[in-house]
Amino acid sequence: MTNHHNAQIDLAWLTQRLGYGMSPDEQTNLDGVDPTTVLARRLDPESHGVAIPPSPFEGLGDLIPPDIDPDNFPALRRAAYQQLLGIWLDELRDTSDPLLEWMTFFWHDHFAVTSEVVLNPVIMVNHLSLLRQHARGNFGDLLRAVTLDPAMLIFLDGRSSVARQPNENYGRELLELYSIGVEHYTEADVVAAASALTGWQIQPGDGGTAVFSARRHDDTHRTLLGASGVHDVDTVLDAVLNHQALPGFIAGKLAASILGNDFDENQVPEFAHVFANHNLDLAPLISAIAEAGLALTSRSPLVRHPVSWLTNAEKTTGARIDTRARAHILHSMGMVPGRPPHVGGFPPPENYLNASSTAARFTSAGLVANQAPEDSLALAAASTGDWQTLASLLGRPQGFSAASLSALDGLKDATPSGQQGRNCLALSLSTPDFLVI
Amino acid sequence: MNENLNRRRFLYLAGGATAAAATGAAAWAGLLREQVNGAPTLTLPGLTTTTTSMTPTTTTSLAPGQGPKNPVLVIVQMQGGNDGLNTLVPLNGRYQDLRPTLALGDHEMLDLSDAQDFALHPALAPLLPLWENNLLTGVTGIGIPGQGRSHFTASDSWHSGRTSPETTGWLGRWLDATANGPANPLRAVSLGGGAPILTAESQLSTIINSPRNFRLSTPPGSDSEAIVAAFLQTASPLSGDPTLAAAQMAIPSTIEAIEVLGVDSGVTADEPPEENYTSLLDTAAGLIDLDVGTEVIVVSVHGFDTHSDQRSRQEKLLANLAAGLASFRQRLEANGHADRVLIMTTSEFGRRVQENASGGTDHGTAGAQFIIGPNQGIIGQVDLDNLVDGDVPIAVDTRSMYATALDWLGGPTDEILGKKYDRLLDNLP
Repeated sequence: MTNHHNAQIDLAWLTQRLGYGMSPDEQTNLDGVDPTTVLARRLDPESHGVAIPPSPFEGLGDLIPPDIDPDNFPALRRAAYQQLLGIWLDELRDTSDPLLEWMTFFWHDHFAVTSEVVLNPVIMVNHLSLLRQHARGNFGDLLRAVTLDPAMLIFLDGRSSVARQPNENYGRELLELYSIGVEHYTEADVVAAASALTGWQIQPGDGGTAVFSARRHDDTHRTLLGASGVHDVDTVLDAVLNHQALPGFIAGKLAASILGNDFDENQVPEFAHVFANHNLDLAPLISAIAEAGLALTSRSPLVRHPVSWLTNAEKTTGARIDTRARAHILHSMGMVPGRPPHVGGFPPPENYLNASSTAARFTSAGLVANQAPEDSLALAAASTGDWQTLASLLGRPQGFSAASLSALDGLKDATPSGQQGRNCLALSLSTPDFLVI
Repeated sequence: MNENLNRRRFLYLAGGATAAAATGAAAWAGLLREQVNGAPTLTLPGLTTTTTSMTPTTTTSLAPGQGPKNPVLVIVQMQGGNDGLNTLVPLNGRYQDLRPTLALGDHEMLDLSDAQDFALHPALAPLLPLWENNLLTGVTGIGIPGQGRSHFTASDSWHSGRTSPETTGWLGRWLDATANGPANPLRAVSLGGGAPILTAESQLSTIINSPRNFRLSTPPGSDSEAIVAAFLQTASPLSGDPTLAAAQMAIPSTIEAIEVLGVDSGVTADEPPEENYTSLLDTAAGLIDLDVGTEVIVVSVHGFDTHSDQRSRQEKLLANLAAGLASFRQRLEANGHADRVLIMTTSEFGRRVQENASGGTDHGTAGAQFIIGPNQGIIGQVDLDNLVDGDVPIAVDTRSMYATALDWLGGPTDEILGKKYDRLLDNLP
């Protein structure tokens, strides 16, 4: 193995763990660039002369005429969400700032707000913009913004939580899922948080803004997580953000997403320390985790979830699938952006090794291969049986596994020459090698 | 935090998806080799193919007096925590006091003859004939002591049957304990998403999100037979990496399951239709008819986490549940399977007695479940005068229901649950 080969493997790892892989052009542009340089650029593009692209979600709010209540117009709503999905998937694939989109999606999974509860596309779009705004910024700012975000007030019922009958939904998940984890709070903490968060409602207009009603609010001073005098949103978040378990909880979750579930958990305290020392700024945390990953000689594998699989497939082959077909693919594979199935977010990616997703992946691979343009480098490599080049283009410079190689050879021999390219490209996209990175 | 990650992982995973499941690789390698070696003789007419010999397997060794011959267990999950109080309603004055807006009115509830203390939610009307025919048992005040109100911890206890952290599900442990002969991925099938109760150390199960969308297709004009054969071939030889091996192992079992189950649903919509109890239980009935050695089926529908607008949301879900169960049972009877199929509902927790201001209820502990099989009656109680932290006190341990289910399957029940729990039904065939 040459150093160049190792650098290629490192770069493939980095761009797939903190993004959605590289197009052939990006592979050419980044060839020979040190992976740590690529990491530094992606953590702070502006310092490296790369402007942060405008939010793809900007202006989507105009989809809905302001005087129409989209709750009452399901067809309009569906069309708006379809358009949002298309723009979002395009951005994941084509963005010049991959880390920003990857982190936005990470927070989408973390907070797991679903359009099926929010309904109003404008509120959902504003929510995604908010996640993007803070995606690699400061976690405290993010958590404060999300707590009063209309989408969250709808999703976990904050808007109808009042002093007389606090709704515990947000109070519980704030502690359990969003910040410190289930072993660090009591039922009394849930009640204290829920009571102090009462009184917030949504005022219509521009998709809605959070407004506070003192009349509906319980201002009793309570103890939350050991902090006394907690009575409103600021004091709740102070108590949560100052809790000693928070840096480790967030760092551990992010590390598992980047390094894979079987990463060395002994590293978490180190990551948490960096995170806490930087006042919960995310960029230094991401950097510490990614550098730890790059330093490994043997890395824990990770299953690509369907959104990552599809984005990588389009990116590496040059195929462009229309939004309706992409929606169908993702639905069949069991993961639709904007619609996490559960308050805990999307299932861990290993879940997508199930029978349904496996079948859908096979079918989708054929669809993607069929849409690859004639000048696709991956298609050319598949047509000539250059499996090593094909593997590299697909983000696997170490090559295909023995099983996949023999399957590719077998299919090439069994297929009339005119169809070899697309058939073998389809097969390469459905291999376990392209799923596990 | 790592505990939490594991918990989260466990919540979603079922057999075939975990690295742990890859430890079953050895058992699988043989079957895999057999299939891959047989690949050249694979015949794939269109894409509805029948290659592997699906030997109807009934390997359960029955303990005397335990369970019927060739038993099947169907678990019907109500994901999100169904409100038991408005499902099997206690006829107690306190109920309507405690639920000022959500309580069902006297005129709405459905009487259960012979059961003076409980009534059914009106949406459950399709279950009444089962009650009249001595086939419906209600279990109320049911929960796991110490399970907590978190979705995640409660789900863990619910799935594992234990309150301590556990990486396998209670039915997964049964699959491991009774494994016999060549692995059959259709022995346990989950319809409507993953079923962590099936998570096993070594045994794989088949997870199908949407049966109506479960098929392999290739672009028009391509040689689908060759491509599917090549796809199967990517599964062998197995990689030494457990994650990659798990991805490989999913391929033959998927192809096998599609061979058996795959029907052209004729669905051409841009998005496949949402599955519900009726459609999923219809697939379950088809699976039992096929007689391919399926012993456990788990059917899951989400949406029971009714923190708001509970009245209309729960009504729709329960109506679909009851309609699905009634037609499922009818089909079992028509095809002569009814006597060997036991059906149980489950849910991670019940809901709080006190309603919230959103027209909903928050997470609670004890709930209510149903068993459809050879028994009639109500087991357990709802003591509204002695709430525990605002919750219905637990009167029946959920593990008693699991024990009943495992007995039905032929056990070894106490070994799997780690303790001897009371049984709910004492007149099993």
